[in-house]
Amino acid sequence: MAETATPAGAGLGIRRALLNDLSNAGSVVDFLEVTPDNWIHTAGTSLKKLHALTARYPMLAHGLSLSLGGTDPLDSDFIAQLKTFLDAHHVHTYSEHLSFCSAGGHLYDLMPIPFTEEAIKNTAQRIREVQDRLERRIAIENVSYYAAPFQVLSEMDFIHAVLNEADCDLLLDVNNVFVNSINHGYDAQAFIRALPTDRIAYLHVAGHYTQEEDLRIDTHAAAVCDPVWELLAFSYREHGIKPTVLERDFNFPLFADLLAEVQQIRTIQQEICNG
Amino acid sequence: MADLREQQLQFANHLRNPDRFPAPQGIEERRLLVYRDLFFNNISQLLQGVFPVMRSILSDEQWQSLVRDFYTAHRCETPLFPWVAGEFVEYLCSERDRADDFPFLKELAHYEWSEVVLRHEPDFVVGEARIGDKPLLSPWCFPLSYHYPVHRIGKDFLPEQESSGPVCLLMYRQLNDEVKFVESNAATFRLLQLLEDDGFESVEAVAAQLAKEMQHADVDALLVAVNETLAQFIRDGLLLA
Repeated sequence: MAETATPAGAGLGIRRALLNDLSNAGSVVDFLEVTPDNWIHTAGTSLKKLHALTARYPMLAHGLSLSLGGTDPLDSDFIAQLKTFLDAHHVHTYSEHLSFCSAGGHLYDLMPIPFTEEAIKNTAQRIREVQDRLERRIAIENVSYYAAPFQVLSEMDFIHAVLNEADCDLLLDVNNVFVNSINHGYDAQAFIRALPTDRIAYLHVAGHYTQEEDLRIDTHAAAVCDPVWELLAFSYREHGIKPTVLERDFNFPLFADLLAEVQQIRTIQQEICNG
Repeated sequence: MADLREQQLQFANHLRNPDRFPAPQGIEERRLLVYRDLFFNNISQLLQGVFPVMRSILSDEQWQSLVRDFYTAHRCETPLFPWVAGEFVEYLCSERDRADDFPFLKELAHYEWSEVVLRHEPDFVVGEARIGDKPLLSPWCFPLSYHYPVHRIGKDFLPEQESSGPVCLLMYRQLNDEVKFVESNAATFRLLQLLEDDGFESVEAVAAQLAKEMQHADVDALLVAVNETLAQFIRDGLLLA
């Protein structure tokens, strides 16, 4: 594998809507994160702009469609395409979701894996197979979920077991912990504290939508709220400062406002650093 | 107890079509609703972006019913988001047969989807795969032939009858990525076919064949017309000289 630059500090997720702003700006963030599933088998000026960006920034990649927790067969062609993509764009770390998005075909969104022993074995085995084929260690993201069908184990036991059996890393999504802590009534700080420090590869923050006081939706369509910023600082204090990506998918603000949120990540990292 | 596969299929199928497939037991209704809305809106918006004309001529009810049936009946194989709409076209053209659909619906879907496919045609190297001394159809040019004038369809034009002859369109992508189309005709399409045919090594041979097929007496005049057309297509990037 070619040498890849190591991301550190604060980064931003590439979206098509941000492509021009990112391309026209200087080095406004420390690194970028790209979703291969949105770019493989595409062409044109957008792809050229993507190549130009990935050539000048340290890169992470964050997938959507692998369905690591699913039971449809793993898509060998897709994994091969992923490997080519990750190499072509000098990606340092590739992450996917601890969820499933297919069952008799794709649904194109994330479903909650039943927290069961059988699902642990299935998911861990698939992660191992993906790591073998990609010839790299991957990170899995704790997802937001609104229901836990067929639940037997706790989410925390499930995450720990998958990380151990698959021998993979964790992408800690702080907003998802916050959203889940409200939707499922648990203590967000206790949850974050219980995660294994040495497995955390990097972090996500994002905004969400308050549908009801006890039902939050992980929309990535709003600014990061104060309790999530506080939880990010808490995560750094518990597990050390790790590269952190701001995710924004919809309802984009001015680019300067988005960069101010990325700057907020840096500011929190500085404050923790300075004690 | 149901195994993992059955559990996942039950949850997924409920999101595909809540009317037909019951949800797993014990989940609060408002939480199921979050999933149902998220999943359906996600796929609906994705398709709406690729098929704006189709969306505009269907009522909300018709559109939702169409998307719902696609989501339920079709097994989507691609993991790549820009290609999901291709699954929808496959469903419409190969799996759906409804008497109450607009007769042109499949062709309209194909036409709108072709623009996306064209945008994602890879870069090409000029000069490869030349056949004799003839210009070559650019990989960034799609000759499209329909029964209905799909390029004119809109809320105010919903044809019920097929056109009297084939509707020939040349859709092409310019170097700046802009996608354009020109109306064409059967003779020009035949000309483009002959350019690709190994049996004819020069523009003269192509024109002679075309004259024969069209029972055109004046081969020289046809050759002049053919050369004018080819020169225009080369200037616009539909053909590679």
